[in-house]
Amino acid sequence: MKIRALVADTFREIYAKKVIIGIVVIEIVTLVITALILFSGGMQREYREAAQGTNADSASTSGQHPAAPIGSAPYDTSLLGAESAPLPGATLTDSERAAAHAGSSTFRDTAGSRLPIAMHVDGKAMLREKVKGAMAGYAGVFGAISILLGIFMAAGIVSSMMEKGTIDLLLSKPLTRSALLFGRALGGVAAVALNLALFVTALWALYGFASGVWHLPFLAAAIALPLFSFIVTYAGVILLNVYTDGWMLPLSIAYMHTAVLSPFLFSREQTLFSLVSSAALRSVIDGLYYVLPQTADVIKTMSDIIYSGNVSNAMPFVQGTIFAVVCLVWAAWKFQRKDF
Amino acid sequence: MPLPGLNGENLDELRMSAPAINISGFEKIYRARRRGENDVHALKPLTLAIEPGEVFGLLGPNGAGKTTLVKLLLGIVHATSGSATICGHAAGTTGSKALIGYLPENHRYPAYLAGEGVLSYFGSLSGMETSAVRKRSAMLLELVNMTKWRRTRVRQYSKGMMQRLGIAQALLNDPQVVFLDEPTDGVDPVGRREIRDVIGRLRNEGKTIFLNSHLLSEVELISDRVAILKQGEMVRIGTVRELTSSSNAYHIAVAADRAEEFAEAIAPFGPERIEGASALITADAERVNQAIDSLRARGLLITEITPARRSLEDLFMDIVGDNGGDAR
Repeated sequence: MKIRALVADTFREIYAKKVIIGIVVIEIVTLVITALILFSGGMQREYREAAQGTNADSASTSGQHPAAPIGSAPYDTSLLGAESAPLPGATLTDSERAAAHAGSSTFRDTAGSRLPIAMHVDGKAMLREKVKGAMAGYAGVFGAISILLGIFMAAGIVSSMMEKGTIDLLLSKPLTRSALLFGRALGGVAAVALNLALFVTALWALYGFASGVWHLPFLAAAIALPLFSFIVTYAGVILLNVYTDGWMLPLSIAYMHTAVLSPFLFSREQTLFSLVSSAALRSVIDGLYYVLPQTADVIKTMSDIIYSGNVSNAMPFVQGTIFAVVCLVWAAWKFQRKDF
Repeated sequence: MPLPGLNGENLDELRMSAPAINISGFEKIYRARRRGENDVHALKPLTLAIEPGEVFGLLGPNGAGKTTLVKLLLGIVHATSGSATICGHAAGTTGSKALIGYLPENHRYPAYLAGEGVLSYFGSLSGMETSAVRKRSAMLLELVNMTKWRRTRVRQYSKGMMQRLGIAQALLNDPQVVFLDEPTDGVDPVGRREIRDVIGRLRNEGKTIFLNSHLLSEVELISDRVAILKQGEMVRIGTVRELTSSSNAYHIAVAADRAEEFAEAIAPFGPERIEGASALITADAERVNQAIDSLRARGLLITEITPARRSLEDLFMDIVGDNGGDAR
């Protein structure tokens, strides 16, 4: 009852802020632009062609994801399902399968002429691949943005609770300090989750109506994984809230990490290590990668799940869970000892 | 009419039971955070017992440690040493907090909620059932004359309205002990009177009231006992009568038509002040009796002899002086 009241009030507090109007406007504009693109003549034609199996580009076997997330590594051709899971309608002989495995991008149709693999597969499956690719790419971009927006929505929740005149009243009520802290945090997570779920569902519906492909893994992964990353980062924000009594510094640090540090640490071997030759510094960079939330890794994994259905890397989830638990326990310990 | 939800227990019975608040050696030191700063001794070891049904007033200048003491009792700050109980429960625990109501100084309520929403929220945090919160809220809003504004957002409330709502909030869970920190702050004279009446009714219902205020006349009017804090130390405690009575000062008055003779007769006893047919003299009982004999020997009709009382404000100013009482 008490925790429910705290969660509900936090939820109300977030949605009573004027800043939420700005966030909703950004989301609506994004949805409108997406709708305009998806329902534009050009895109609709592409979908029609893909559905008819006439667009060789739509499921290229060049080895690059049709809409690879920014900064992500090239996708393997196996992600297209040509080798390990032949698409419905594709009739591969053993020799053709071997050729595909060896990297050949063509095989012979029943009449004996050489055709690109994509033209040989079922049109519906090809369209599905195209839409999945677009969704995976899109999710990579808005996944990071939704984490940033979520932090913006919730960064002040714990610090506003600790303001003079508010905290005195809350601490005089018969509930423990930990319950108070986690109740507020839970309210913040619930508010962000609702916002994210509505946005992703709207996006999923737009893709569904525009293409006829209703790809459920997008709905699940594009909600659950950014939310997971948000929770992990938010745990760090809460810890900093408790130490600094404010929200500005925690928000800035979270933004710096999510938008800059995490992508660089994710691609450190291609980026940072080319600038740093010292083994000691490289170890420090590696250390940061393993200690801080691996947000960019989660976003990459989300794109993989949306496209292939496979979790390519479970490590960011294990590391993120540990990071969040440590931050929250530490924050609760500090909050317990604090004088107001 | 008794306060809604309060059960009017017999006061004598209440006073025979264990103290409502029992403080033993409570002390608070804020350690210096930086080199060059000194520790702040916000509250020096304090021992105090407040009986059930008592209205206890705590006085002191800003920074004397009044709010620190209340916050220690509520677990908002942690004691450096010492302990306390509220109705037998260790202070600061959920057990003790379930029995208290608190109106903090400069309290802030969620601005997006209306008055009844605030009560609903804090009632839920106190573990009350929704139906009970609704019922009590309606009664308490009526009590503090806020029914009319119950659906108005708190952000539109004046300071006085916030105080009234704060009092309703503090009484929501039918507490045994009520802590009121500057309850009449920002309230107009009519509102002050109403708040004093509410406190009086709470006392009649057997509630223990811990009142923090720098409005001395207010404390003097409603408190059974008063303590004065200065620089984190309790320098005086007692009933208002005990603290304000001056042991060897007396007002003496005679019939008004013989003022001149009275002035002559009282002069040898060194009056501090003579106003017409009355005077204030400071002397021990024997000397006062001599003055009475002298007046009667002259055939003067004595109409009044009363121990002189100082106001709480006079006492407060004597104790605190000009240097205030800053501790924190």
